[in-house]
Amino acid sequence: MNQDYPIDSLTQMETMLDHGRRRVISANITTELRASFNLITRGVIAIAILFLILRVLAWSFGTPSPSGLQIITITTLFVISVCLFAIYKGYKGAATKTHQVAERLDIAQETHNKVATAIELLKSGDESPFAQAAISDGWKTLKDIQQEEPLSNDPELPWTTIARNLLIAIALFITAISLTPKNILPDPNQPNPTPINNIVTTPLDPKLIKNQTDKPSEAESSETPNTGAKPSPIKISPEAKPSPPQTPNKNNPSKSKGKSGNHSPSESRSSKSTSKSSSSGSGGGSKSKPSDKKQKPAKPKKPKKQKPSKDKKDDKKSKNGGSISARGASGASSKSSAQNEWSSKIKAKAEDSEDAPQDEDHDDDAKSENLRSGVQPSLKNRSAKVSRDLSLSKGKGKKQKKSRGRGGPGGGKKSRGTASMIMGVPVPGFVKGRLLPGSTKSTQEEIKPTPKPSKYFTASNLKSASPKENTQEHFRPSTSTAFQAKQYLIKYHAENENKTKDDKASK
Amino acid sequence: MKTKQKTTKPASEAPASDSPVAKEQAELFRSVFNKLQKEIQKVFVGQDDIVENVLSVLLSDGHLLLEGVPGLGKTLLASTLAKTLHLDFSRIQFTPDLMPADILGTMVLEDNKEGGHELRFQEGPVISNFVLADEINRATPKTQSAMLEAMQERQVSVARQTIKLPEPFIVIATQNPVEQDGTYPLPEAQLDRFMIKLQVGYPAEEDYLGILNRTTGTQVSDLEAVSNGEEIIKMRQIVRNIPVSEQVQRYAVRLIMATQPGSPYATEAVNNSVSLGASPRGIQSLILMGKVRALIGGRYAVSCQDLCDVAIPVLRHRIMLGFEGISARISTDDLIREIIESVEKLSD
Repeated sequence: MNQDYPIDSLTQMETMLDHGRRRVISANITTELRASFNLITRGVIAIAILFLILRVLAWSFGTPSPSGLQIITITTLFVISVCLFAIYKGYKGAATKTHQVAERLDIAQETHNKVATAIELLKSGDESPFAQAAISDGWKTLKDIQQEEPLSNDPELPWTTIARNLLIAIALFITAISLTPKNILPDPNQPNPTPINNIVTTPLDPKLIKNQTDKPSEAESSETPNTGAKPSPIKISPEAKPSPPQTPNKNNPSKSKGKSGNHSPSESRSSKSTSKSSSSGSGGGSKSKPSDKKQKPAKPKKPKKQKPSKDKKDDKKSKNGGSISARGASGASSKSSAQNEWSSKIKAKAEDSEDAPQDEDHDDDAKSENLRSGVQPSLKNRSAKVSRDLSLSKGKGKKQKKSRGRGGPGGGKKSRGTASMIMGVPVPGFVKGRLLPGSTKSTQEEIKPTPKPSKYFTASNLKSASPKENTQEHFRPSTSTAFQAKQYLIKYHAENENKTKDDKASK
Repeated sequence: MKTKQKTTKPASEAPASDSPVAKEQAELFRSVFNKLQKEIQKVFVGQDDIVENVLSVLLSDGHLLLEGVPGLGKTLLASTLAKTLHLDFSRIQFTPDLMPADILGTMVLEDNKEGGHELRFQEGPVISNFVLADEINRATPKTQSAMLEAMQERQVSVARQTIKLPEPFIVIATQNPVEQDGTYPLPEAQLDRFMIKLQVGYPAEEDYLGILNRTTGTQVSDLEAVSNGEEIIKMRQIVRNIPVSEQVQRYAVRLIMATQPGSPYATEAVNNSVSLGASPRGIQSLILMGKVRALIGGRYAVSCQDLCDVAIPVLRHRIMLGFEGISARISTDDLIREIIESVEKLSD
């Protein structure tokens, strides 16, 4: 053991530990960065999920959605910011004091705290023999290991989890981006003919159109050939009239944006498709007219080629534009909030006027279906679904029209059946009459009784002990006694009859 | 650290010196240690770590508790150690009817030269350098408590007399596991007075052969007394000279606090299953045993690893399990291992 150490050993030891200090800082930063991997992957997944949700919403409702480039930018900014924060945290949290570096070096090299103890003893000025020996020992140890790497608390990263998260995020991104070419961001300069072809419009009231549009003649001329018949007037409740301020879809951003004139590409496209009825539409509305004219010959085949999803979208767009044509094709897409409000109003009105004849309504429906060249969902019946609430309402609930069966709302409930109808509830049909557990056996044999021989006597020869024993003696009265008894009984019964007659007479 | 930095000397004033004294003392210590170890291993086969811990307790001024089922050589180890030292040796066989006076001594009536009678104190077996308390947990707690003053204050008080015990004084007690019949659990106060508790287990396969060769033949191993009381006291002084850095001291404090439920360093298992943690006497024992460990390892200062090495025998009898710990059959040794893993060795 070399017990010598220089006079300025503390300074030299601190100098030697500078290398380790830098390594501690870099290791700490690396540790923080590695620790932030998990956070980064989770954040990327969250961004991907958000992106996918926005895309799906845009795909379903036509809401605005960020583009793929924007999402990539946001993700990159997130990753960079997390990394920068980790670097800052690692630098600030790194142990940069001499004894801290020495302790880490000792632990990493398993030197039994020799370096840290030597530095501490040097600082404390302990001059005891063992302190001097410990300093010398630490000095020698540090010289040997000064180029070694100090302890870095590298956490064991869950690489499988990180890889799985990254794969999920990538899959989500790909799924979200794959939705783009179909519905999200079409080129506004190239009108998409498919949705316009699929639009099923109903003829408008000419008076209404005259009041709302500047070119009613063009609208009428473009629509009348489609029907092939005289346009029948459609009953529209006052709430359903297509005045934009009264459109029930308050949550639809396209409407408010349309008012302000700031249209996104998708919004402008929706306004194009519904411009026939939208007098307040933007310039896109005039562009849609030629396309409608071009599609006129193909209209008789439209109902067969229509895809439900596109119908839904087009119907919604037409509704958003405040068109009365929404009534025609929005039957399948009656899930939107606007339609729910709408239908509730109609239903409320219908309930108020239950006594009114409905033949006209049926005629109108039939005509509108014929106009649309096919059977269309009956929009007059847009009432709320029959409740499937099976809870017992004890007759308090309002009985609905369509409630039938043993379930359903209102009124007293029919029997739910017996317990035997419920699976798992055993109801025995009979009870086995077995008194005691275990098997029993009973046998019967046809045996005729045979007298057994006896040395004393036999049963057949057995006679009574006395002659009186087997005879029954009867009382035989004499003739005089019998006569007296007879007279007595006749008299007795006669008295009884008289008594009963008197009692009845007194009552 | 902060208070010490006020008195820090400039680096240029740090003395440039070697430490031959320390080197000599450390070598002397190791030589005595090795000498005693070799002598004991003539009789006691195997279990080197047990022997090392027994000698560590001897040289760090503590008392030892050996626990094991009958027939594992507990008494043999203690008696062998006594034979290797030139010390007064007394053995007390603890039985249920043993009384405190049988241990401490009592006043007896004797005839004097003048023809009268006088009371004289008859010393008990505890007044000796080396006391072997065999099967200590077979005596009643009242009798066991007679050892309390002797073990801690190194004195006994009998009949208004206080008698100092001779130096060095060491108690090596053996006990059977508490689960065995006819045993009384030692009081916590007495358990805490033992520096370490060693659990003597069954020997290894090779050790069995050694035991057979040495005990069933005609071979008789002659034990020599290779050390004496003065040397033992000197070794104890060397042990106390070993410096301990603040980092190691802090680590020892954290280890002890981690055994105490409710402390900031206590693990969840400790909080759930421990009812009583280690006392300050435990940290004294921990540091002293760590110092011996450092000297045996050829070092001049205690390290955190030294404390880890001795933590289990030092702390296992100072941790009292609660109801949940006992019902869950949690081992104190496993608990201490978990504590060692959980406590941070870095000072900051």
